[in-house]
Amino acid sequence: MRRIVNILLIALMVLGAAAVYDMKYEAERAAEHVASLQRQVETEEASIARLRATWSYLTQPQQVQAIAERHQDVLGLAPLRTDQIATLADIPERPAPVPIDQGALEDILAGLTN
Amino acid sequence: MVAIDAGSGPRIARPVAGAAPVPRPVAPPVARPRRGEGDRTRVRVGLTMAAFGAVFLAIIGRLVQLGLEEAPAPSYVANAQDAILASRPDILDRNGEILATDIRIASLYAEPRRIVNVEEAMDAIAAVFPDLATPEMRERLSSDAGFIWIRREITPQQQEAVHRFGIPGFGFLTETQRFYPVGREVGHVVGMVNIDNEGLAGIESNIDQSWLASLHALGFARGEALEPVSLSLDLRVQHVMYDELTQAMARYQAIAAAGVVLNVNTGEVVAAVSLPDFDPNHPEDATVDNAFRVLSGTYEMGSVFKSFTIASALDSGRVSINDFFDAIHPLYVGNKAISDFHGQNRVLSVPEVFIYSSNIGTARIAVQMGMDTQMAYLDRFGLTSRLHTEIAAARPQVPAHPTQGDLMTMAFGHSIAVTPLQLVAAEAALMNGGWLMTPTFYPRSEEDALAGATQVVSAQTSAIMRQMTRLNVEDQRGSGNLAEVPGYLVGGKTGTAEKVVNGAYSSSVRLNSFLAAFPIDDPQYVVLVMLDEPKPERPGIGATAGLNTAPTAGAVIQRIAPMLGILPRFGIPDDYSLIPE
Repeated sequence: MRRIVNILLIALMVLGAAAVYDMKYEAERAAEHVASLQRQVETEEASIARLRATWSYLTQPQQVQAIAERHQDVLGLAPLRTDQIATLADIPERPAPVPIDQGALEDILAGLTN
Repeated sequence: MVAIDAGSGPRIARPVAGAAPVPRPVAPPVARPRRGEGDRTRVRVGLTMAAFGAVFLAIIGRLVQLGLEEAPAPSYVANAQDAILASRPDILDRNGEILATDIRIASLYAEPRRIVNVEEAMDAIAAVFPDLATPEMRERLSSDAGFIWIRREITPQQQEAVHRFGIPGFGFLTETQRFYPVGREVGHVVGMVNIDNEGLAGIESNIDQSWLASLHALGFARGEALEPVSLSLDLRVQHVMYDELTQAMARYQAIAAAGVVLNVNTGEVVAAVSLPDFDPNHPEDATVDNAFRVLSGTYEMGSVFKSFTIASALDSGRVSINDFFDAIHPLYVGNKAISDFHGQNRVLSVPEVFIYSSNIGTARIAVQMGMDTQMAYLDRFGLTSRLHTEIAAARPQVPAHPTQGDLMTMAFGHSIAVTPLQLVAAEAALMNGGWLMTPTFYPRSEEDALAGATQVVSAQTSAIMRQMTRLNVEDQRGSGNLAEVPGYLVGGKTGTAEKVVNGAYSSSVRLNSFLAAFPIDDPQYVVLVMLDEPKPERPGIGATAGLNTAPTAGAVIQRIAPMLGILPRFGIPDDYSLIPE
């Protein structure tokens, strides 16, 4: 009996040691992974900053106006006139539908076929 | 016979050779346990077990403690570079467009001492930088030097390409450079930085003075991202003003131009342009000639000042809207005459003085108002003291001991030189019901603006001034007709100020301005257009403000009104009730 308990405890001790080593290496790997992800994040952030700066440069009003003027013949863009501005209220309502007079319609159709 | 060994080991009955084993009862053990070897061992075992148990308990306890702790913020080894990088926040306009940002630029260096294979290194350089693959480069790489630059400011693609070669001894240093995508259009407002990323002018300098320099001194804000700073500037409106002023400078051959758009209800500067200008990406181009005229220059603005004279006179009660003033004969200051340009040579009512822009009439109004009232109102409008806004402003030039002659000339904008922005701020006070707000380049709400505002004229005076400026544009007799934009009720005042040439006022060299507000029944924005020394557009016509600055202001208003959310309205009746028949 004692021998079995001893063997069991020794086995547990070995397992425990193995588990501790395993956890230690897992932790190290996780820390490395985190550091590598952070470097990637930093690279991406630098790329994003660079791309945003390029975007702002390319879409600045002066560039866009120059392009619109250079390709006036193809794009046909002209400055907005004040009489071209309207709101939804300026569009007239759809007129009320006139009800169809069935009798008159049938008379017309009958007259056509005759 | 049994030999009993008393000291060593357990009692064993050893049979002596020859004798028959006789079971002899063993003496019973003593009642009190003797301190034998066995007991000492048991104690030792117990102590060892206790020691191990304590150690394990300590380990378990520490594990539990670590398990309950919060994970520390992940951080990696910061390189020495980050310690010296002074990062700056992005600067955005009110709609989030980027006006200034940091970009990281890499530079390639080599440590020739550590280069193993020079041929390999030369191959890498030749592949990415063909112009650098020279015999001199080979020599430098073969030498024993510790550090040499190969190429500074390389593109990310080049950096990637060199990195892939994997040459030991090559390395990259990233530096942060300030980049202004929009460049010259916002150069004066945004400012620029020096080589150490410290702000030199404009908002960059303001950021440093407000909080960034202290942060850097304490060791923070290095190499990490900061919250972007938003300005009140609208890039689209700024561009329109820039475009129109550039065209006007070319059309009228002016030597300089300036323009401001100010929000009347919040005091936010929506656009501020000064020409000639420079590209903040090349700060070495900044000179005195292309300084920020809107704030760093003081000018005798001329007839646009008449709005303030008449408003002061009406608000103080010294002059009534129904008064008449004699504009038949010129007024004399010493031996200099004050006369009208295209004078009416008759008695004028107050609105007529305004729309005919009569110097004589305004001078008489100022005399009736009195010197003390005139100076008091100029102080209240903020036209006699330096403007305190986020960008450095020049101090206005006011006569220290104003004479009666000064009183009369100040009435129509001479003998006093102010910065254009404080003039616009004072005009905004005339248009918004009398509340003077300090102009700001940062976003500000109406509530905050009103909380910090002072009332300089009454709401009634403001209403009268709105009607008079509208009359000036709408009525054919006014000088601002060319600023009219159909659908937007534009009101404004022209100013044709003679500049001083060789100590005397010259009638051919002028500083023209147009100060407008729209829509006049509920003004939202004040627009100033200033042209320095404009010439006639074609021979035979004049070069007064109504002919050059007024149409430019009208063109600006037509383009910016939809952007600012102001829709045109048609069919509003005209109002001539101010002019007595």
